[in-house]
Amino acid sequence: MTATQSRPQTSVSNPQAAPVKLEGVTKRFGKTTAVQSANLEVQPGTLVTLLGPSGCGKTTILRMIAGLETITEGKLSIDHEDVTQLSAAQRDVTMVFQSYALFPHLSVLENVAYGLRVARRPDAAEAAEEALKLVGLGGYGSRAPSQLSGGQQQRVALARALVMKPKVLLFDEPLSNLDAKLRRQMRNEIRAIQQQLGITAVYVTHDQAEALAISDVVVVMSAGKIEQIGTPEDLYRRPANAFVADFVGEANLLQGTYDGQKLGFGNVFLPYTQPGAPTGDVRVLVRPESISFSERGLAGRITSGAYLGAMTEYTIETSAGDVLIAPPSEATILPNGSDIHLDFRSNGLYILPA
Amino acid sequence: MQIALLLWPLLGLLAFCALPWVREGRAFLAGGPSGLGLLGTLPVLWVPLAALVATLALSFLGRATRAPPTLAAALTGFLVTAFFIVFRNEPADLGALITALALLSVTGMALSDTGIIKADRFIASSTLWVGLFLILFVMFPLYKVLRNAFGETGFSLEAFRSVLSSPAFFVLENETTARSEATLALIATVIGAVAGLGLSLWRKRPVWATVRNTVLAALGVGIFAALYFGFGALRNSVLLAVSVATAATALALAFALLGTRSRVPFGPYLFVPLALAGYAIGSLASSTPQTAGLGIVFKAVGVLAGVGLAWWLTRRRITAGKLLGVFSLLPIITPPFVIGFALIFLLGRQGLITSGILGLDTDALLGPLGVGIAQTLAYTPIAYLVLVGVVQSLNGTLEEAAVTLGAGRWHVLKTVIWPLVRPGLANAFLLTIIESLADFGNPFVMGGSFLATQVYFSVEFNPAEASVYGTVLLALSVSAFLAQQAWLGRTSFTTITGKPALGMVTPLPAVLERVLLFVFMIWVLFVGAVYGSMFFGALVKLWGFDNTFTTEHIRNLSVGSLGVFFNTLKIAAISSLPVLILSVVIAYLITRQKFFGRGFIELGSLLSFAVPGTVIGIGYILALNSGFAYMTGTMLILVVAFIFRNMPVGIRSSVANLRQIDPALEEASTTLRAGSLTTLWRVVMPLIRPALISALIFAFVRAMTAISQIIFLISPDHKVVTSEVLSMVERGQLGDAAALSALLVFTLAVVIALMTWGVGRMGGSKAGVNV
Repeated sequence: MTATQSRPQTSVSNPQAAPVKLEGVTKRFGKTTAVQSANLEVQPGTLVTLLGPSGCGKTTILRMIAGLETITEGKLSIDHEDVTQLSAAQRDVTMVFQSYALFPHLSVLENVAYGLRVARRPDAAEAAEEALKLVGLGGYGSRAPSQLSGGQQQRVALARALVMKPKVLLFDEPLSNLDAKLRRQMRNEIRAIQQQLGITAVYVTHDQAEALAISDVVVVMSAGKIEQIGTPEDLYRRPANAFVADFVGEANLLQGTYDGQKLGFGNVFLPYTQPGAPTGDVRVLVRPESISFSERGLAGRITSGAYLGAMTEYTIETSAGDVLIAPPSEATILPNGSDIHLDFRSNGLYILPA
Repeated sequence: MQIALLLWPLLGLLAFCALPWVREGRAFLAGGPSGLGLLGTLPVLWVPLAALVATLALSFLGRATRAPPTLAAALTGFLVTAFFIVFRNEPADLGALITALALLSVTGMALSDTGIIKADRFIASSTLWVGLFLILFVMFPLYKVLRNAFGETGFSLEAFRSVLSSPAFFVLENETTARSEATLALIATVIGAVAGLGLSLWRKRPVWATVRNTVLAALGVGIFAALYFGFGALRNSVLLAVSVATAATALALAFALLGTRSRVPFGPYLFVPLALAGYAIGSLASSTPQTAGLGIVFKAVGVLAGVGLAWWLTRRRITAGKLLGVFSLLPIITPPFVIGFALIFLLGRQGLITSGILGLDTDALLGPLGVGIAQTLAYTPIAYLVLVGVVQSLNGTLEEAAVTLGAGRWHVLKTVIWPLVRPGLANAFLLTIIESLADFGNPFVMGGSFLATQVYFSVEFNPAEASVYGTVLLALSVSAFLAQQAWLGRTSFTTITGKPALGMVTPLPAVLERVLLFVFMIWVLFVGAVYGSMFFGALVKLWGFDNTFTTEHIRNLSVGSLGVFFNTLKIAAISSLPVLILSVVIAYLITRQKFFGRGFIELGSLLSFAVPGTVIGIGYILALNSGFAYMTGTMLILVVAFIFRNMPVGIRSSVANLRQIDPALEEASTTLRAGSLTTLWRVVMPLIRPALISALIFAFVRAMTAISQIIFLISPDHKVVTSEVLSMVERGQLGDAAALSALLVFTLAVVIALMTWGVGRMGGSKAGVNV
């Protein structure tokens, strides 16, 4: 597979859409380094997600793009203009906050119109009403933010950020306060609006499923460093290292041997070629959906099973390491201690770089 | 914001050309020559003029090209102007002051434009303004006090030596007493050492801990004994502060527990106090010649009314907490010394308790003991406000956890509540120590030699001695303050936010609750007597000698006191708005901005909280009595004194309120391209509006009740109510003093009530003011 097979890039329908470029950006708080020389290019009109566990520096990068944190070292440019020294108020960037940060003393319409009023735009009210319609809240303008549901408040925050027609739109874990069903719906809407307007967006989340679903490009971070930049499919199929493999999706990291033609787990060998992969003893990423029970194959013993409805999740002890698989549920659940055999599909495997 | 860069140089030019540069006397704008007029004789004034013109011209250029030359011009102009004003040392008039401030503002904006200060223009300029004000009106006066204490010309410890060795300051061995105080103190030190050693050995502590405990115990007990047996102002002040702080903190904890945990109606405890109050009102009403025969009837009606009220309160199930809310407001509307002076009515030679109840003929209950009682009455509510916040914020789920693990009420109190309120107790204790040390009015009214009064009595004939007393007082207060800050620094600040606690609180043990309610009853009785005697003192001919009803004292108010009263209202009102603006800006700077110099501003503004009023008063006398900042004898100096005196309280309450606002709101405003002034005005201010209004009112109220710094600064043309009351007490016009105090307390009570009602109507949270 090559990169061209990944999700088609959004056409840059919006001529105002701006690229964002981070060159060696570092942020230190006292002695702790929150972000270590990050390099990143965001193409115009794309949605790039910063993904990582809490404390990895993703929000710090976002806040540096917004201008809410100063940059210790390095250069940040938006639309080919160096903005490293500009304050947040001087940058053409808006943000949707995790807590929505709706002004409680202003109506919904005045919240959306706030930035336009600050800029003394005469058409503030009309433009705000327009933005509210775009997010499906036409007619809600006179309400107080507290009278809206969580999802609606989220839309107001989005409208407030969109109405400024920013060069870059930032999202700081915008869906983390919503319940699971609403989260899925909102993320699709955010993606639809972003593509419709062709706006450049940077999105922070710790939810890997959300990141895969919404992004053109995902940046995986850990401990202040960028681990990998790639399309969602790249990350899932071809992770740069064990951290990315483990963080994105469910991963089995098994001990195997590889000689250039055949990949072996214990006594099981299957034909496999991966150009540029190391040979000898290797670590192999095996996604759960690439493994199934079979009559023959790698021997193992079930150590736990959990019924999840559509699927049943088993943990299996094998000579190549512990394996997690999730086959569709059968009528009976195999008891712990059952001896079974596992078969592998060769297109779900990936030998991690040494 | 572009317009600001145009306006400030224009304003400066206008002031430079049209307003007088120096003053002849103390009056401002009395028609001296302007800066323009002085150019011929003082060529150095070309510099600020050139700087103003240059910055004005530069403001038409682009930001990048403009910023560095603007900075150079404005900074040079400001420094030259400032140095010229300071070293020329003639009273500066508004022309010079506005020129300097305009150049300072432009400097700030240019610092922001060049990126030297990483903040926007408003933040940069206001930081410089605030810094200048703190230097001028906090640091400079304090510097003058220290300078005076350590020798006006060259460093010298002479003044220190003479004061510290004077028996008025402190003496341990009193030749005129039979016993030897030094020996007693030595014995106490040995006892302390033995106790420390014994305790450490008994508890099998390691060697170094044993040595440390022994030394600490010996020192602690020894110092306390030396103070206890010794004499002098230092001894009196420290002993007083420690005793008052202990009593006030203990009472405050009792009341805080009652206020948050007592569900029992307090009515039954009020039968006696209310019946007594009814009796007292009845006897007052029957004291005029016309009503003399009706004494029995009036008194009976009074007692019945009191009992009826108590019964009604019992029926309504009014708890102690409701009353405590009112009692906690009393010290805010009462100058502390008014309590002291009302105590004269109770504990003086002809006092209700001394003579009326105990039948004694003594004034031994006045003096240091009286000061202690007055301060305890005045400061317990302040400690209560600190502790009730702490007790309220205790997480109820912790107590629930303890109860589910089988702990009884006493056990919960001992193992959960007590450890959690201990930092709060230390906080309240140190706060009360600071207040007690700084109190000037009560020692002044009651007599006795204390540090604060020594400053006042020595300032006229020996400013150096006054400065030394002031320095010692300052050192003690600042130590207590730093201890408080260190203690607070180690505890989480979140314990004192207004967040509602979760979970159910455990009720108090029944026995403890009854004891505490009884203590509170005694308190209510006593405080009621104090305030009652103030109002009675205003309504009878001469309390204790002739208790017949008269309106004479009230009529006397119009002779001169009413003028002073309205003058004070005016000064307090004028000073409260700058307090509000400065407080909000400083609070915003220190909570929400990161910039060079924030530490200085935070320290400067917090430190002024710990500086005793008498010290700042003498500092103002020393610093502002001549030279470029000559201000004494004007109304302005009173306004300035009020502003910088009340600002720390405003800052504390604004900081507390800002901490409750999600910073994301301000960040959202910033990312929507609003500068910090716009954000402050359109987002922050509306959100903390109820708190702002309370802060405004409290600044006003505190200005009305202030005395310690003001006593140094009043002049015949500009007197204030509190100093007027004090001089009435000095002259023995107790009735008139009582009438004026009653007017003050009543007025402020109305103001507070209106504010509480108004803020409540605005739908804001409870008036969040930290005292």
